Amino acid sequence: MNETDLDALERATHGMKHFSARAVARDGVEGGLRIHLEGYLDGDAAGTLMPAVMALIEKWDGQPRVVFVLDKLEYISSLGVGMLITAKAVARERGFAHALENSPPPVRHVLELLGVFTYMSMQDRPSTE
Amino acid sequence: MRHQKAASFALATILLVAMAAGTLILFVSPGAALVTRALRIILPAGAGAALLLLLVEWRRRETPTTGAREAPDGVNRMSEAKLNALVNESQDMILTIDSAGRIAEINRAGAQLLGYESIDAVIGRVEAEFWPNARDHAVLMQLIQESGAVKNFEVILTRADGATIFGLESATAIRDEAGDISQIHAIVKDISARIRDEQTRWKLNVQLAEANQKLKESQAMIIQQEKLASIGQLAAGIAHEINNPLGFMKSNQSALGQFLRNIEAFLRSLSDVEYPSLAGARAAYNIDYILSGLGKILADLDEGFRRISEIVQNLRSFSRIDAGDTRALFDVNAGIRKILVVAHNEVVASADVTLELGELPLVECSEGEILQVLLNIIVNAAQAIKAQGRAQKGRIEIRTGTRNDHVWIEIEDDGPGIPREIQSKIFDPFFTTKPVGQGTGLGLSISYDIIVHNHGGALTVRSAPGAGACFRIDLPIIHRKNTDSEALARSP
Repeated sequence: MNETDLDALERATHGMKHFSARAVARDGVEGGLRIHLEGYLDGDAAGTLMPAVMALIEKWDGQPRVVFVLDKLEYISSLGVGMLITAKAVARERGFAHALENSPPPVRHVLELLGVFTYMSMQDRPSTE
Repeated sequence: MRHQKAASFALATILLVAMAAGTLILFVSPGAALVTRALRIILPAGAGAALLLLLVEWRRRETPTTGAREAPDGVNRMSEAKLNALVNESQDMILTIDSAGRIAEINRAGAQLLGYESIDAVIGRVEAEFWPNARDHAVLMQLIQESGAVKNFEVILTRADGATIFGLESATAIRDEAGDISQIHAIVKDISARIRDEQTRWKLNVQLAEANQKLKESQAMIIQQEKLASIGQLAAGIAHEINNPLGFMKSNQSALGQFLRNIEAFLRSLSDVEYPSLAGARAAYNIDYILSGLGKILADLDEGFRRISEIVQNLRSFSRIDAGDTRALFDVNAGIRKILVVAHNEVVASADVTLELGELPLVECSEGEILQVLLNIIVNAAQAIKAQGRAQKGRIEIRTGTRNDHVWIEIEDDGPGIPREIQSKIFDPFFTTKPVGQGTGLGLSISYDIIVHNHGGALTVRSAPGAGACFRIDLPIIHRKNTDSEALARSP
């Protein structure tokens, strides 16, 4: 996997007024594929982003861990939640660990309402990226 | 009855106004709704509703029976009646929000969706109150402010009874002459059922993925176990092959020792005084030196044969891994010593091993499997220390003891330790922090399986980064048959 592969999310969301996504590869014990989501993940954004995210996870060859960093996510729709869950399923199929990180309260509320935490874990940690 | 009176009063009022002001109402068709709304604010709610109906009826009579009339620009326009029917009979919530954020109008479906019996109970309420998530409301308002309209924005609303509903909202802003939003017209479609279906689908997808992954893990573990079993068989074969020549070598070594000791006694009995010619030969052949070293050589041979025997014996212990559920009484402390012989080469360069072995009863278990677990943990500890590349050797402490009906084994190292975040994952199949190609990530997973599932024990770890790691095995002294049979017995 190279920089061009990682840039796929930025390319996919380029031009969106209220949403952007980027992927970061991190090494080490806490390493893995880290996907940062920012802004409003509505139905359109989720629909556009989904194929790029899945392709990225399918291609990922680093530490077997996929983390969605949500600290700058302001709104999430059910399609956005569906994307996170599909990503988890794809990650698990490949034997990767999967986690959500730093969800702001409004987004966490939606995830709770939709029962996401019955099969996904949330980690809170200081953001360094 | 009160509404009828109000309606009659309103009808009379409008008729008078219409007569005085000409055909005002008739010719405000494009803005009829606005007029209706304005009057509604002025008039009591009941009269307002009656007036709305009156206007609709009046328009119906003035409109061709097709329900549409030709507009000046040639565009067919839907009749007010049809529009009203559309609004009132819609299954979706249709509402108008005023500039103060209050619900100015709402249809019956909207009121019902929000959990109210009547429309009047909803009119005048602050629309944002129905949003459990204030931030989501702010996002929607920002989008409407920016674009003037929003299509299919997913909303979460709280009904009067506290239940949560999910909706898909499309909204349009109506601006006044100053460009400020005076009203928002919105349609909200209830998608709660669809979301519930989605939730079920998500859950199934994740369960399917987990099941697939478990299957892959099981396959990999079976392959690994098969590999270990093959290694066990190989070890057993090698042990057998070594054992045979070892047997006659030891036997011959014993005889050779006896012969040499006799020869030594004989040579020492030959006096240089009695046989002066031997003195030169004794010196030429270093006989004294040979005799002085003979005992050491024989002792070393003894030790070498003892160690080979021990290794062979331990290899044969490992070969029992594949023997299925062959439980027998096992001396855990002796097992630890066996393992240290087998793992000597892996450990000796990295760490000094200290033993604090308590007095233990024999444990009913599968010896080969327990030895495999001990070997795995001890070798892991040595490799973790080695990976630090430190100047001095590390330390591995192995302790044993009993507690209630269990024996426990602790293997503690002073290596780099395990980060707290991954402590819960180290027993997961395929989880490894070793470089690619140096670890399968199955060792601890198989160890866990052996201790917890095959023996009803516990395998735990405590560690702090930089402060080493301590693995603890708890094994029941008497093996209880696996809970599977108990579960079957309990099942109907």
